[in-house]
Amino acid sequence: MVLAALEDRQRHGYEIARIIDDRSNGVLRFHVASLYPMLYRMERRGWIDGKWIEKAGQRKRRYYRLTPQGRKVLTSQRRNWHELLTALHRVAGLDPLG
Amino acid sequence: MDFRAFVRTHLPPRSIARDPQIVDELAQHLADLYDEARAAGLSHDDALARAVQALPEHPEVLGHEIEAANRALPPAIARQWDRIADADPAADAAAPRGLAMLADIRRDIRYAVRMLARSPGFVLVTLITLSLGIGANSAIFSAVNAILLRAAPIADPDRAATVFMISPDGRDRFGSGYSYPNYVDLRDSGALEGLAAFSSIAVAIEANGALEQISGDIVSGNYFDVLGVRLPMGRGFSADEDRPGSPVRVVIVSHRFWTERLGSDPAAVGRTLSINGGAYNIVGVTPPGFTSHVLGRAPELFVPIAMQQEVRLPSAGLRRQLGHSNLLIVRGGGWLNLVGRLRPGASAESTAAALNVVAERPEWRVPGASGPRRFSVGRLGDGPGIRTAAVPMLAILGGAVMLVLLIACANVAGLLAARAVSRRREVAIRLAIGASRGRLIRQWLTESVLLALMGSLGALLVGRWMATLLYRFGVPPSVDLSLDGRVLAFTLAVGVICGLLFGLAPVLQALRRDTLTALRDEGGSVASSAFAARMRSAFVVGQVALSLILLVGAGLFLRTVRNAYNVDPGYTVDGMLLAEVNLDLRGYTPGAGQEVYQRLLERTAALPGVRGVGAARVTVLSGGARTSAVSTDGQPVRPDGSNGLTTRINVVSDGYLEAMGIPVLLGRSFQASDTATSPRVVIVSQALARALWPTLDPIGRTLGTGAAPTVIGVIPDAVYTSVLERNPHPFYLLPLSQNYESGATLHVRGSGDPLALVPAVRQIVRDIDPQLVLARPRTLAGELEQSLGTQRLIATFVGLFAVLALLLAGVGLYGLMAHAASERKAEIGLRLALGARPAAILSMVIGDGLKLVAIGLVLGLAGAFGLSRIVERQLFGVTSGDPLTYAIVAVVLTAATITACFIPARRAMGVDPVVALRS
Repeated sequence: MVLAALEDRQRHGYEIARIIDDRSNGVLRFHVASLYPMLYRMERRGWIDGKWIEKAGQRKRRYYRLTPQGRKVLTSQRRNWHELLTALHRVAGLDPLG
Repeated sequence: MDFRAFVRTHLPPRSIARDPQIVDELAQHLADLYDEARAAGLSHDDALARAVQALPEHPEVLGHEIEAANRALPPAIARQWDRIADADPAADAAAPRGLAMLADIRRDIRYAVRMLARSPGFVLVTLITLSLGIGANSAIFSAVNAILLRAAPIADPDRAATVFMISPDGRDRFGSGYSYPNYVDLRDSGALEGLAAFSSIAVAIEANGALEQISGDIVSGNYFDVLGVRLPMGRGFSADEDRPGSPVRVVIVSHRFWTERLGSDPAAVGRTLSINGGAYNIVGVTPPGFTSHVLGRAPELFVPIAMQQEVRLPSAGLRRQLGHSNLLIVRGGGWLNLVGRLRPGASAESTAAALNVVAERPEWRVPGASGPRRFSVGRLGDGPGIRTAAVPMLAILGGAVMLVLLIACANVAGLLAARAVSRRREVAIRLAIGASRGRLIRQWLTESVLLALMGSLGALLVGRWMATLLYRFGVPPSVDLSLDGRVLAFTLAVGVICGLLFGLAPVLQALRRDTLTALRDEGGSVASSAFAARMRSAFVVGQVALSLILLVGAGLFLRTVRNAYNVDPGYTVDGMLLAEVNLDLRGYTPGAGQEVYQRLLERTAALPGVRGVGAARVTVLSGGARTSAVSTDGQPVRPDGSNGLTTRINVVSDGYLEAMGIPVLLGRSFQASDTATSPRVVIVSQALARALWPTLDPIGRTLGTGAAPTVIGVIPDAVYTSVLERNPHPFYLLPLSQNYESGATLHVRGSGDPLALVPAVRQIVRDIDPQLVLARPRTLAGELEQSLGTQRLIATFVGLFAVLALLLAGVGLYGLMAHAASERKAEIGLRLALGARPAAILSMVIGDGLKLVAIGLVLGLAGAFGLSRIVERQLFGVTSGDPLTYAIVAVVLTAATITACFIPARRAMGVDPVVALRS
């Protein structure tokens, strides 16, 4: 989910949390205590890359962007999730996913 | 709003998480939250509250998480690790797994501690189980360590050796009676770097104005040098003090003697000590770690061999035969044991060969023997002694504790497997957010090893307690069972191995499931824990089988002990006081000695509460015996012993048979009229009479040849050395009045507590001769108990372990059934709703448990039948396949397991159909 949030452009931590919150209509909500450690871990693994950037009129923020490796991981995890969710949907008797 | 200060104080001090960049980033997040809340129209206070709430309640949680994330694997290794964990096992070997493990181990431990702290009940049960299981092993290992593994407290113990004589027929390979001239020949042959002689002695010392008999060693002057034992105080014996014919009264006292009797006097060397009435100069004190080079012996003092005539007189009979009491000039007979030090590089075989050359000398020839003597050289502790005797006992107990440990591990594995099922949500989530399977496995193993290590610490306490129990059942106090590095290492190692072993259960489960299955299982369907249930069922079957084996073992040994106590020894054991008098210490002539015995017996008999008094050279049930060959054909016994019957001899006073309660079957008992000048008489046992004169009346026959005594009575065969003895030898009794002994054991039968008579008897002894000692007062019943020490020890410990095993198996079964019943709650509710009677539910659940128990019983019976053959030799009056024992054990086990099933079954029966179905 974090990786997906970074797919189109780089974002800072608060933005990532907001995006996941919005996209899931508030069902999925990240705590500070889990979000940032996860970001650091992904960074250590080389999936994302964090940089301090100062934008005009704003304070300095740390922006994260997807690395090529992270993009690969995202693709493979997408596939996994898709399989899982398709299966869940079938089991639950919901409409198949688009 | 600037939240930096708030964030910083909200993070644990001295943590990476206080890094300014991290603080900045988190503070920024809170600030964003605040701004957003303000923008949505909230008041300053409400917005502040919302922002602050974003941080977890406990600062450590965030701190830990950040720290852990920051210390996560460097990118390169992380990639490799992911590949290992998700790939096939073949790739594992090549990867630098150790490196990755080290990097994360602290994190795993921290996480494990947190996970364990969440379920204190589970941890408590596990720790108790493991403490008992590992503790039993620790205790038995401390005995194995002390008796078999620990080297003697001497220098370079690998080169220390015991020299044994091999009997001409080769049957006895551990002969150890050397005369002094023989010892000197061997010592001077140079076959060994050094050779020392020693023999145990009992001497009277004066302590606090009263005389006391203590045990010591008479040793050759080089004893401490050969063993390489340095005396911390004083010195060893000098050459002068070792020279036969010029005795010097010197003594080296043990460390214990120095602390207990000399009050750790720093000026003890130079003090004098009264030994057998002579003033001995204390020249040295042994070091604290040294009791003897022989395990289990603890002589209190050491006297040089030149003092033999004062401290170790030959027996009265030998003295009569020799006409003097100087054993140092007698080549025949043997009374010394030898301990030596091999030459560097020499083998036991080459040393024995060099000694064999000495035995070729003409003066070494044994009259009548076919060839020269032969030697064998063994390591310290080889041959008869506590080590050899302890091996079968330690093997049995070792096997028993291993079974207990297996049962304990199965229990914990079962608990962990159940826990793994209830933790599947955690697993699924962790897998879904990208945790690798390898990580989870490692995490679980960390948790279980951590548990096992904590269990090991508890085990050390349990082990210490059980070790003190070992002392109570006959392990000599000089055997040091205390905790040393090896016992500690063993206990911890067992803990780690167990942790890995039972940690495998949840891991196996985890390996079987992928993210899909794990998530699909959400909701607690019956199938979810099928694998776990199967695994736990297997554990329960195994536990039942192992407990059964232990119970059968305990049953067999309990019956052995019971049978042993039920044996009619042929005399009355209860109410008998035993105490020794040693007239040798005072150097009485036979005539004067006889008078002492007579006065002692008469005056003791007159004491109030005394119903019978006698004296005997050998105490029955003490394990000791004097044997000789009796001719079966009237001819002298031939050297090859073909016409000799091995027979036990005892010398007893008149009144002995009456005091013991031994009836006379034929003829009469010894009387006061049997004196040194009257015709020599003997009383034989029924078996001896039957062997020698199967069809004739034994009364009036002579026993043996020459001036042989005449049989005046026949008594029943009685238990002699031990009630456990198989095929006991026949025996005969000679009267003390005609066969003077310089030491005897007083047998006093009282009407109350026999030990209450000790002061009165001691006073009588003192009245007769103030320098005479009444030594080792004890009861015959105690002697019986001691003679059964090994069996009692095994019965007690195996019984203890069996009860433990039964308890653990019961808990395991209970856990399984309770879990299964709760998983089947919906089904049971349905059955009840459809009209099943509660009783049927009860029997259904119990029946499920009994199915497992039945399989366990069959396996266990087969195992017990096979294994109990090993202990056959230790049993008495019961065969290893005793059907009664097996039947009782099977019933007990079944009853216990039904009880374990009953509680969950009752609960299942009480399920409310409506509630169960709705849930």
